[in-house]
Parts: sequence; C-alpha cells; structure tokens
Amino acid sequence: MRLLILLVTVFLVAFSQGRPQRAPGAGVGPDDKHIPDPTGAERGKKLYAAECINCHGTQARGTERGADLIRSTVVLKDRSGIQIGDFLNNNQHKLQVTPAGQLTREQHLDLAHFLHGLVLSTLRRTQDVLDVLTGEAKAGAAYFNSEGKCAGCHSGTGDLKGIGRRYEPVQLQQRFLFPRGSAFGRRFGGGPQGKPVTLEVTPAGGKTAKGTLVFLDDFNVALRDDQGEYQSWKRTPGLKVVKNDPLQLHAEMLDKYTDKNIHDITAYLESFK
Amino acid sequence: MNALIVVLFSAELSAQGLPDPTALAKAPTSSWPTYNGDYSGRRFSPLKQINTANVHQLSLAWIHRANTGGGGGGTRLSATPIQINGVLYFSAPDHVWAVDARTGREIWHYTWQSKGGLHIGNRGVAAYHNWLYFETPDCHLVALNMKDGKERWRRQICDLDKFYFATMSPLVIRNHIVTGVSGDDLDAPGYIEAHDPETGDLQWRTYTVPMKAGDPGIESWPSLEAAQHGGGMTWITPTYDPELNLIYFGTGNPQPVIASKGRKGDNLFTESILAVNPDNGKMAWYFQVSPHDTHDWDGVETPVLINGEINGQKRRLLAQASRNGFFFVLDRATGKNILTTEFVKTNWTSDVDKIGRPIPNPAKELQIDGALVTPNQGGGTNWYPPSFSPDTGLFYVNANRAFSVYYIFDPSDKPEGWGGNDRSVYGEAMLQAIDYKTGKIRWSRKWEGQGTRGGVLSTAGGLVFAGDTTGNFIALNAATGQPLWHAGLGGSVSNGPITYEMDGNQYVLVSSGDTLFSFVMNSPVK
Ligand code: HEC
Ligand code: HEC
Repeated sequence: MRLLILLVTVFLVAFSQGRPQRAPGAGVGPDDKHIPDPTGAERGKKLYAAECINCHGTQARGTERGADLIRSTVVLKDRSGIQIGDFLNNNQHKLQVTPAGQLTREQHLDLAHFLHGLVLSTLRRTQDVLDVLTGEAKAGAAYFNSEGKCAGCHSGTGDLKGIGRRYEPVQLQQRFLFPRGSAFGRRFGGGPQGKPVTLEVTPAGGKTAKGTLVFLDDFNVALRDDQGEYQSWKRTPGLKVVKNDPLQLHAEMLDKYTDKNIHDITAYLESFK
Repeated sequence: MNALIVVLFSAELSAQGLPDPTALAKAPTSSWPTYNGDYSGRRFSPLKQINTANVHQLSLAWIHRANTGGGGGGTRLSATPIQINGVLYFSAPDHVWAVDARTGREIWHYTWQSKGGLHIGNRGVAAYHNWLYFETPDCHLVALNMKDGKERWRRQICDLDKFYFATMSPLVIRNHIVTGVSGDDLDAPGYIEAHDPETGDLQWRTYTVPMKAGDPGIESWPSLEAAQHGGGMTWITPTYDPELNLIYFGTGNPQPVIASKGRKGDNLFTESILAVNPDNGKMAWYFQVSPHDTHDWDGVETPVLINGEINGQKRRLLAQASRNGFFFVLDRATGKNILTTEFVKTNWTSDVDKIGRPIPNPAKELQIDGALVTPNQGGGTNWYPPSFSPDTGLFYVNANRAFSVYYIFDPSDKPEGWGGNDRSVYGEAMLQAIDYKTGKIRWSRKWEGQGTRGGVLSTAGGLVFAGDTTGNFIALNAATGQPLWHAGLGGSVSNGPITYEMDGNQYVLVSSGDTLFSFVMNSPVK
C-alpha cells in the first residue's frame, strides 16, 4: 500500500510538471554508458571552453576546424575519459591548445562528464517546447467569437476565467485542442477530464437508461446512472444506443484550424488571467 | 533467371520434418514457419475449416502466459509466433520460448543476458533447418538449437554505444539470414545485412543512406556527414519474390528525426521501399514514400506482394499502407508507382508528384510554437502487420486517424538527435479494407476509443481477424466488415494473429500483453 501511494505520488509529480520525467538516456544505449557527474561536467565545460571550443564548436557539434564530438565514435565508446584521454595523448590530434600528454587524468574525466552530458541531452525526450506564445491575442479573440464558435460554449469571464494562470502556455494549447486526456500515446497536457461522455440506452420496448459512459464497444455497453447504479447490456440490433460527447465539436475543429488560428487562440486564452 | 529459384516445392516440410526455406513461396497450412507465414507478407491462409458460417463456434483451446522468470508481468508479446511440427516458437526482448502447440505448455525457455538497448519489443524468431535465430536489444543475432534452446553462436549486428538496438524477426532465404537494425536516438546510419546460417559470418551489408562520396542518393543530402548520420533503420521483416530474387523492405525515419534544418533535401533512402538482391545486397530499385520526412513516420511497414490485375493486365505488385497515412501500389519488378491514395485523412501534404510521392507541405513541417499534424507520430498505421486476401482483393490494415502538435525544440542550424517532438492531441481508430486496384476504402470498421496496435490475418474462410481498441479479438466478414465472432482478451491485441491446421482442426493464435491465446474449431466428440 505504501509503495502504491509512493508510486502514485511520483506519477502525479511527474505529470504536474507537464510531462513524464525520466533520467536522460534511461533505457537506451549500453547499460554501462557513462553517466555524467554534474560538478565534474561543470569543470569539464570550463576546460572545454578553454581547450576545445574553437575547433569543436559551442555545442561540440563540430566546425570547419574540428570534428563533431556528439557523433564521435571516440566519445561514444568512451567510459570515464579513458578513451578520450588516449585519443588526446596518442593521436595525430596535434593542434590542441595544451599539448598532447599535458592534460591530467582528472581533466580527461571532467571533459568526459561534459561531453557525455551533451550526448545524452540530444536523445529523445530530453529537450522541451521553447515558446508557444507567438500568436496575436486580438486575432485569437476574433476567431473565438466568430469562426471558431467558441463563445457559444465558453467565455473568458465565465468558465475560462483565469485559465491563463492555471496552465503553462503549452498545456493551454493542448487543453483547448482537445481537453480530455487521451487514452493512449504521449499526452503531456494534464488537467481535469472535463465533462464526461453520456449515453442513452433503450432496450427494445423498454425504458431508456441515461448515464455516464463506462464502457462501449461493438458488442457491449455500460453506464453509470444518476443514482450511481452500474448497468450493462449486450448490444443487439434491438438495443438503441445514443452517445453524447460534449467534446465532439472540439474533435471536429481539428480539421478546421490553421496553425495561425491555434497560435492566436493560445495567445488569447493566455490573456484570461 | 535462375531456374532453381523459381522451383516451388510442393511439400511445406522436407522429409526430415524440418522447415525447407525454399518452400515459403506458397501460403502454409499445417505450419506457420516464418514471421509472415510465407514470403509474400500477405498473411492470408488458404484454410477454410473456420469460415463465415461457423466462426461463431470458435472456442478457446488454451492460454499461455509468457514467464520471463523475473516474477511475471510486464512482458508484451509483439512477436508473431512461428509453428513447426506442432511446436510454437516466439520471443520477447531477451527471451525465446518453445511451447507445445497442442497444450500451450512450455518446452524450453531461453534467456539472454542483456547489456542494454531499448527493450521496446521483439517481432519474432526465424527458423532454418534445426536452428532458430533472433535479435536482441543489445545488438546481437543469436542462433539457438530448435530442440532444446541451447545457444549455438552469437554475432554482433550493431553498435550499442551508438544507441542502435535490434527488434526485427530475421528472414531466411536459402543460406542467408537477413537482419535489420533499429535506433533513432542518436544520428546513425541504417543498414540491412545477411549472415551465414551455419557460422553467423557476415555475407553483406547494405547501408540505406550514402556512406561515401559518389554513393547513389548523395545529391539528396546537404553533405556527406549529414548522409552518414541520416538514419533509415530497417526494423520490419522483408518480403521476398523468389522469381525476381528480390527482397523488399521499408526504411525508417531520417535523422535528426524532427528538427531537419541540417538535412535539406529528399534524404534518400530513408522512408523508402527498397528492392535488394539477397545474394549480394545490391539495390535493384527504390521508391521513397516520404521525401524529407519531419514527423518520424518510418516507412518500414510490411511491403505486401500481390499478384494482381491492373486495367485488365496481370501485374506483379507490391502494396504498402505506410505510417504517413498513404497507401502505395508499385510494380515490384521496377518500383514504378501505380497508385498513391490516403487510407486515413491526412493534412501534411501539398500534392502527390508525377512519380507518386506525397510532397510535404512546408507549413506542416515543424514549428517552435507548434504545428497541428495528422497522422500523429504513431502514424496512420505502424509496425503491426496488415493482411491481403486474394479472394476479396482487399488489403486490411488497422489504422489510426490521430492528431498531434509537432514542436521544434532546437532551432539551430545543426540540430542533432531529438531537436523536436510531438504531443498527441486526439485520435480515432479503425480497420480499413482497401481495394488494391483503386486505393478506395471498400469498408471501414471504426472502433470505439483510440490507438489500435494489432496485426491482421485473413483467410479463405472469408474471414479477417483483428483486434479493436477495447481488448476484443474479432473475426469479421472479409467482404463486408461485419463482426461475426469476438473474444475479450482483457487487453489489446499485441501481435499479428496466425492460423494453421493441426490434428485435423484449424487453430487461430493471437497475443495480448504477456499472454498467448489459442482458439480452435473443435470437431464433434466421437
Ligand atoms: C585546433 C583545433 C582543435 C582543438 C583545439 C581540439 N581539436 Fe579535437 N579535433 C580537431 C580535428 C581537426 C579533429 C578531426 C581530425 C582528427 O581526428 O585529428 C579532431 C578530432 C577530435 C576527436 C575525435 C573525433 C572522432 O572522429 O571520433 C576528439 C574526441 C577530439 N577531437 C577531442 C578534443 C578535445 C576534448 C579537445 C579539447 C581538449 C580538442 N579535441 C581540441 C581539432 C581540434
Ligand atoms: C459545443 C460546445 C463547445 C465549443 C463550441 C467549444 N468548446 Fe471548449 N470545451 C467544451 C467542453 C464540454 C469542454 C470540457 C470542459 C468542461 O467540462 O467544461 C471544453 C473545454 C475547453 C477548454 C479547457 C478548459 C479547462 O479548464 O481545462 C478550453 C481551453 C476550451 N474548451 C477552449 C475552446 C475554444 C478555444 C473553442 C473554440 C475554438 C472551444 N473551446 C469550443 C465545449 C465546447
């Protein structure tokens, strides 16, 4: 039980930060890959700036004067600065600032911490969205009130009041595009589930049951009614099922927005403080 | 044409009861000897004991829960099992099992000691005479004894330090074990290889991107360095035409995957269908399904071989429902495009060009502040195998119409690795039945909910077997899409279903999560 609570907490913390967190490089590459130590990487960064940056570039992705070190076999095969050190000491790498053999073992290790950190930060899910507040709030307002028909269901002083404060801009963009957490795939938006899908189920010659969707597929249907009772049916030709999704329009809008509409609406929603 | 190659063996199994790799030009009945059953990738069975009239009686024979030995749970069987002489062989990352097809009981279990790599899935094992072959997440091709699962040899097929990994079910053609590789975390080149089945020695390796100045396709990259790090992984089992002696496979996304500023051009031969000679790895032709992709839409989906008719003329065709949402039909002798249509509605193209390629709309490429794109990164479809029935002329594929917002994280001139990504917004899922002659959707079965990830099987019994989004395994009328039978598996179908006849009864097998389900059409008790 305690473990469960702990796991749930970890999960919630991860999602409240907008996206699932994981250690950079977890699950990919070799198990014994070099995991950089942050203080060592800090020292390595200074050393890199003094010794290597002119040729290998600010991000170590190479320049006309030096190779790309993120894609370098020497770096990728390195553990604890040993291979990088051997390369600097023994190679034709004649042009380095401090001559070959004069950097210490500790300095090689620090360079390794720094370079491996850069490698890991190019992997999947290590970077994040930069800026989604590029649209024009005024154009967003116009769209909200006319073409988008948003004003038919929402208002900035009513249900959406303060929404610009409640979500990070990127979450806000995700929220309005489709407000319900998706059942699959990577969705980072977070936020409440919103109004549920409702059902009306009418057996042949019977009374209509109304309630919140619990389950629906081609063969069976289940709902929870106003009294909190769970009811389920086998779907037969005589059984009438009407599904009501309050977000149907949100789904249909996905075929209509231009990206400019999206950026403008995001800017407009952000102004609902 | 080498006459030997065109010989079709009548017996599926050779005299010693061992699979004869040359017999696979014909759909199997008593076995399911390879990932796709046969070389064509159709996943169509001529069996009809189970048919539209009686499928409602299909019943459970047994279930088998794959035990990795670590306390159970967590394993997802995405492998298509193979069945030879009444024994099933299947895999999960680092694990291979042999299970009695009559009882579902384990005969042996092999565990690989892993040194890392992405454990995302394993698509299955391949058989050659007495031996089995499979790939490991940490970049090895491993040969096992079929009878006891003892390891025979291991060969490294990729470099774990460069963040490659391996998932493909190898393909056996005569004395070639064809292997592919995965890995798009860092920017590495894709390739396909053939190994000697006896020794594991490398016979050839063909890169899917230019690796030196003057290589074909180099003009589609800004520099040799970009090409050499251009991706194009090879992670789905090829199909094979014995008469043309060509294998066909699709290639994965270009690298860097989303942020593409440093790789202007078409980026050949990423997201392409390639035809390659299995004896020497030489490319005969290519067709690019997504020039300069920026959405991670690996074009690896099974290239299905169809012997069909176009405008009254008999043609050797190849069809692919690709992750980018488009359905392609090509002439498989030349690679010439015959047809390009959407099998789900998309929003990322501006046009289809003269040679049949969808041309990306630059506005939908990627934006710092987000571009709304459909399909999402998961794609219109993905690795899960489709099926083609020569009886109905329909190509069946589990499809998704999903939207996501693509963001660029790294706007610099030389982004690397994952300088961008998508966030899923919304999706719908359906089984599509596509007429290969026109590309039109003949019928579509929309599932409630979203995110199908299961393969499809079609049979001469007039049936299509597929999974929906709520955990049902369903038999549908192949001509109309009407569901005729279903069983709730408790989770989504996670592999491609198979069928075979054993002891006079037709079986259908499918997996969901860590469980393999065997269904059978029973005979009356005597
Ligand atoms: C004056 C320019 C210059 C400086 C300064 C320099 N390098 Fe290099 N480096 C190069 C060039 C050019 C190459 C490619 C040719 C070669 O291998 O020598 C290279 C190659 C390398 C490689 C091998 C890349 C591969 O192909 O796998 C490594 C590792 C490396 N440098 C690390 C460093 C480090 C660490 C420093 C700082 C301590 C440094 N270099 C300083 C120019 C430079
Ligand atoms: C037919 C009614 C309808 C229309 C039209 C509509 N929405 Fe919604 N919207 C909803 C419903 C229902 C929800 C779910 C939240 C709830 O339960 O109230 C929702 C949720 C949202 C949310 C998330 C609120 C939150 O607190 O997380 C945003 C933002 C939003 N809509 C913006 C828009 C915009 C922008 C438009 C126009 C492009 C629009 N909506 C059009 C019905 C509608």
